[in-house]
Parts: sequence; structure tokens; C-alpha cells
Amino acid sequence: MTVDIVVPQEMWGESLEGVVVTWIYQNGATVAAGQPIAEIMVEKAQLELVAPASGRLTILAVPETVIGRDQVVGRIETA
Amino acid sequence: MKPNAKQRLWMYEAMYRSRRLDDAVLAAYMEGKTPVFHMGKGPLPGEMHQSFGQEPCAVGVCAHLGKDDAVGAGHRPHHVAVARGVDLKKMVAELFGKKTGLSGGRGGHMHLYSAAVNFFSSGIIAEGMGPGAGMAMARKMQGKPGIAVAYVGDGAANQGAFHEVLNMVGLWKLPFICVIEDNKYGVSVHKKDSTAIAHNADRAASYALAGEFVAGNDPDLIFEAAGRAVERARSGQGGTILELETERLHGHFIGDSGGYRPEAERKAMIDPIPAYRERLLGEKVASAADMIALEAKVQQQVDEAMRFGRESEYPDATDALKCLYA
Amino acid sequence: MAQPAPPAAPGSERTLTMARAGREAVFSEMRKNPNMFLIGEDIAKLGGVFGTTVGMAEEFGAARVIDTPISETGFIGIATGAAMAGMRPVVEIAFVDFIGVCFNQIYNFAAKTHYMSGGQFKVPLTFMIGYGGGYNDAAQHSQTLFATLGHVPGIKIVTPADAYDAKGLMASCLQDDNVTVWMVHKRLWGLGWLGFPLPKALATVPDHDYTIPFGQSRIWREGGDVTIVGLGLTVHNALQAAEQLASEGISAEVLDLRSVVPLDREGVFKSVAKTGRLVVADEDYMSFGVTSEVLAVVAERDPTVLKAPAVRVAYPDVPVPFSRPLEDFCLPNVERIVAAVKATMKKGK
Repeated sequence: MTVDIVVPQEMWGESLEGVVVTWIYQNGATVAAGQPIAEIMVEKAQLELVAPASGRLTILAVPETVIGRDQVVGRIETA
Repeated sequence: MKPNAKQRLWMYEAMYRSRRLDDAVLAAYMEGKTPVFHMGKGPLPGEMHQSFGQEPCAVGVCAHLGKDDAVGAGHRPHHVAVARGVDLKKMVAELFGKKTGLSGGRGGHMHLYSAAVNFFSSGIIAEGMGPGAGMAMARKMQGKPGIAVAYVGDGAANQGAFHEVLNMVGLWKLPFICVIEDNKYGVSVHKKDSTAIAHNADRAASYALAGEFVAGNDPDLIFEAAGRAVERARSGQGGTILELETERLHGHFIGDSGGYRPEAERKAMIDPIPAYRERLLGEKVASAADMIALEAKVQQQVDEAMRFGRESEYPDATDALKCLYA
Repeated sequence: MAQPAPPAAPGSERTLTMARAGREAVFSEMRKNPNMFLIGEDIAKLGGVFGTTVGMAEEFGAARVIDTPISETGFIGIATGAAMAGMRPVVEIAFVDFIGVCFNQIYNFAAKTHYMSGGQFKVPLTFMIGYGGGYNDAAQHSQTLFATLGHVPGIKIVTPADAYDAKGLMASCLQDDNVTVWMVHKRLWGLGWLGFPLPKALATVPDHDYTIPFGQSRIWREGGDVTIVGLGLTVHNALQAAEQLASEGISAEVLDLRSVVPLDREGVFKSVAKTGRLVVADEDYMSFGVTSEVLAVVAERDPTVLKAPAVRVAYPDVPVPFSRPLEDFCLPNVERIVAAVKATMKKGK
């Protein structure tokens, strides 16, 4: 099953855009649900993106990419 | 609560001990410094800030303190150290810069530390406020009993650290007492020329603390007021600024003639120790014979400590490089 | 993030920012040691201006992650007393420039108490400090001040240049019983708003705890023609310079001091004795500082190892200017390091 990674609504505040600062895991890495996996900057705040599920990570939005609300920045392939 | 007979005699003894020590230290200090006064010469070199006249401030508060408590003093620490129970021999050896001193000679007169009785002193004005409050905070964090007291002068009440620390004492309700020894002078400048208000105890409201001013340089009155402050701290009600009127009978340090003080003002100062002695005799707290015996015992302790300080060895020169890091 | 993150799945390397790596060490020590607490401005709700304490108030609570009033002298004094009474405080000073308002408590009391007390009182106190410029924050918010702090006895100072070192050196600071200072260049934290992380500041960081000793430098790049000594951000500038120089046939060794006090004099000398040429790059003001000290190491051990005079690439002795061209002129950047190497290659034998 594929789970989309989207920056949660409550992290956006009033903003429409953010930027990916860094991924903690590489493309293809195995991650666990609840683990911090990336750092995203929204306005001036650096926020932590947490894995919504356990499984294999695919990175879609690389560092320094500007992202919008609801944008899928990565995917996790569970089991 | 007024002090009982035992407490009053304890206070007199501690004041007398401090005074006899100051007398002995003054004599020793001047060795090698006449006819030309050079601070670095003689067996007791450096600056020396003595406590003549301020002894009641030390004993009236320390009478309430125990082994769980902590005390910090400033650049004029001897009377507080004595009242706190710092080992007299090690203290004097430290003044002489000997290996057997509290810090092996590394600290000296203004930097007297005794972990055994949770005592420290420091040489920069108001510098001890933060560490004193920090010791109070540690006790609170650790859930351990004990309060902390920091001694400062009236001049220190205008230093930034005083305000910053007291604000946090009030904010966090730390079990801390700031004792201000108000001898009305910051070296040569009278309090009325340095401080915008008459009583620093009145600043307490700015920090949500209790403030009390005690006039008269009287051990019994200081004891009572200190008792209130200590009770507040122990019961979790928070901190107090305890402002004690006292007298600096000598100059700021040995070598300061105090010529900036009006002659009449100097002559009007009352030495609190003989006055207290008279009161205790008059109220029959002790007999004349008991008093003399007590004083003889104290004199012997002081003589022994001075002898120990003189006769102890200096540290090896290369010890200067040791003890930097734990 | 109320719970600590679950352990990493096997086979997954983590590439962390320096801020995150430093935090890991703090989290680990805070969990092990109930006597440890954090104190400073904006560390509880905000998680630190530079992200040094993100998530900590949530895990450890307000009693152990203490937001203070703007009272550096006050709370550093308080932390010192707490340390003397058995606690292990960690103090945040966001900008090294702020040591001016509280320097007495640091250098006259905290740093000296162990010595002045003849060892009776330990002061296990760690400072987390941000430093450095290059983003137009001007004279009072851009300084480095290694020399100012390093000059006074009683303090240990480290300045990691990547996330791996950040975690290990932080652990060493927290476990040490002395006054320790952990300093990170603001442009190395990995905060997006100070520029994207420099690639080499990010590093693979193991899950487990580890320490890095004080006084141990690190060779990032081996070389034979010249030793470039750097620390913090200048390590990264030196590495870029080395790349450029390599394409021109010059082989540069890049040595990261990592530790200002104690200084790895042995490591510095060994490298310079090998290459025979020395360039030292430091963002602190030039005179009376780290660059002077590094030159002194060689001069007093054996200046004959040098084939040419050493060259210092440091901040000129002026306050940090605001305007971009003025500030850029002053920074110990890649161009200046390349030029310094070429100068030392030209001279001498």
C-alpha cells in the first residue's frame, strides 16, 4: 500500500508555500511511522515532517524545492 | 521570635571571634608594609577588606542556618565565614596563601570557599547573587531542604545582577534571602549620592519579594527579622530582601583612611560588640566570669589559627598550574 | 512530538542537520540524568532561536526546560550556583555577541571557581552558543569571539563543523564536569532561513551515543603541499578552496581544529611539518586570536618546518559591517583562502 507524505495542515498556518530544507533519510530507505524524516521551512519556522507510515521511502520533492499546501512531497510503500 | 540566651551567647561568641580575627589579621597585614605601604609585601599581602562593625549582620542571620543551607558572601567575607562555621585554621592559612588553606592558596581573602559548610565568597560586586540563588534553586529542584543566603553591600543594590537575580527569585519563588549590609558607603560614595531611594528593602515590591529594613546594627533585632525571612523561605513563600543598617568602622580596605567621611560622622559610630557585651551582662544572660572565659577560649582559637597560618608551608610553585579543571 | 522518536529501522542511515544532531545528544543526556536542565531565553515554547531545544519542553516539562527573562548575568549566575550544588545546567546563549552583558559571571566566577576553591566546587556547566555572520546581521549579532572566550582560563570550547561532530562534541561537553562551550556557526545549523544547509555540514549520524574527545583535530582532506587550518564554517570554505586548488595542481590538506580549548597543537604541528606550508582561516577578528595561536604553535616548536611564511585569513580588525559588499570583503571566504595558498606556494623554497 502506498501512503502519500503531505505536510500536515496545522503546520502551514496562513502560508501557501514552504520549502524542503533537508531529508533525513535517503531515497529508498526504510522508515518507521512517527520518525522525523524531513525538515520543512514554512515562513521562518523550521518544522519537522514525520513519517505517516512504516515502509520504503520515495522522495519526490528534493531539498530547496518550493512546495505548496497539499503537495505530495514523498511516498511510503508499506510492507 | 527573639533569640534565647543560648542563641544570644552564640552570637556574641561568633562576633567576638570575627573581631579578634580581624584584629590579628590587621596586625599581621601591616607587617612588612611600613614605613612604605605596599600591598604586595609582608606575610598577608593583597587587598584586605575587614568586617569591623558589621559582625551583627553575619551572626543575626547565620544563627538560623544549618547544614542544608548555603551562604554566599562578597568581597568583605570574614565575619560571614566565621559565623557560618568555616574552619578557622584553613581560612587563616588561605589568607596567608599557604598550602593548608581552604583552596591551597589559590583563592585568597576575597575568594573563600568551603564546600564543607556550603560557603563561598566572591570579589566582584553582586556576583554572588546569582550563584546564591542558584543554590536555592538546586535545592528546590532536588526536593531537598535548605535555603540560600547571599550577602551584598548597599552599593551592590545598584548593580545589574542584583535586579536580574531578584526578579527571578520572585518569579520562580526561590528559597533565597538577599542580605544587604547597609554600611552606607560604596568605598567613598555615600548611599545618598548613589541610590535613588532611601531603603533598598523598598525595592522588594518590584520583584514580588518581602522586604525588611532593620535599624540599629543590633544582633537581637537582626535575629528577629532574619527569623521571619528564613521562615518565609523554608515554608515556600519565597524570598526576602533583608536590609541591615550597619557600620563600617574602618575604611573600605586596609590602607583606606576614610578621609572622605566627615569627622563627626566617624566619631559618632558605635561599636556593636562592646555594646552587645554590656547588654548581655546587664540582662544577666552571662556572668562576667563566663564572659571572660568565653573570650579567652575564643582568643585561643584565633591565636591557634594565626599560628597555623604563619607556620604552614607555602604551596609548591608549580601547584599554580593544577586544579584548573575537574 | 510528545514521545521520543522510535528507533530507526535497521539499514537506514540518517543524514542530520547540525541542529538536530546536537539536540540528539542533549535529549540523550537529559533522559539519562535527572539533574540536567536547560535554561535560557526562548528555549521552551520556541525551541531555541536556532532550534537547539526543539521538542525538549514537550518531553521534559517546564521545570527542566526553563524560559528565562532577558537576564543573562542573572541566569548564568543562577546556573553556576545550581551546578555548584550538584545540578548539570545547560545554558543557551543564542548569539555569542551577548556574552558582553554577562561576561563577568562566565569568566570571573564560573570559569574560575573550580580553581579558586582548590577543587572543592565543580562547575559542570555547558553553554550552547551560536556565532558567525555572512547574512547581514551587522556588528552586534555576527561575531565569532573564539579568542575572547578562549583566552580566559577555565573554559573548554568546541566548534563542530558537521552533524557527526556536533553530536559527539555535545555529548562530551555535557558529560564534562567543567565549564564547556559548544559553538556552532549560524550558517551551519541547517536552518533554512539562514541559507540551505551546506552539504558537508549534513552528515550521517548514528543512533547510538558517542563522544569525541576535546583537543582532537580532524583531517577532512589529506594533502601534501599546504595545510589549511580551519574551524567551523572556515572548514567548509577551506574544502571548497582545496577542490579549486586541486584542479590547479596544488594538494591542500584541510585540518579542522574542532576544539579551540584545548587546542590540538600536536595535530597542527604534525600536519604543517608534513606539508611545510600553513594557511589558517578563522572568522574571528585577526589580532590576538586563533590564527595567532596556530602560528605560535609552529613558531615555538620549529619554524624551520615552514618553507614559506604562514598566511592568516581572518576577519580584519574592524566591527562587522552591515552592507553586503562591505561584509563580503571581510569574510574569510573561499577566494581569500585560495589566494592565501597561492601566496604561500609562491614564496620560499
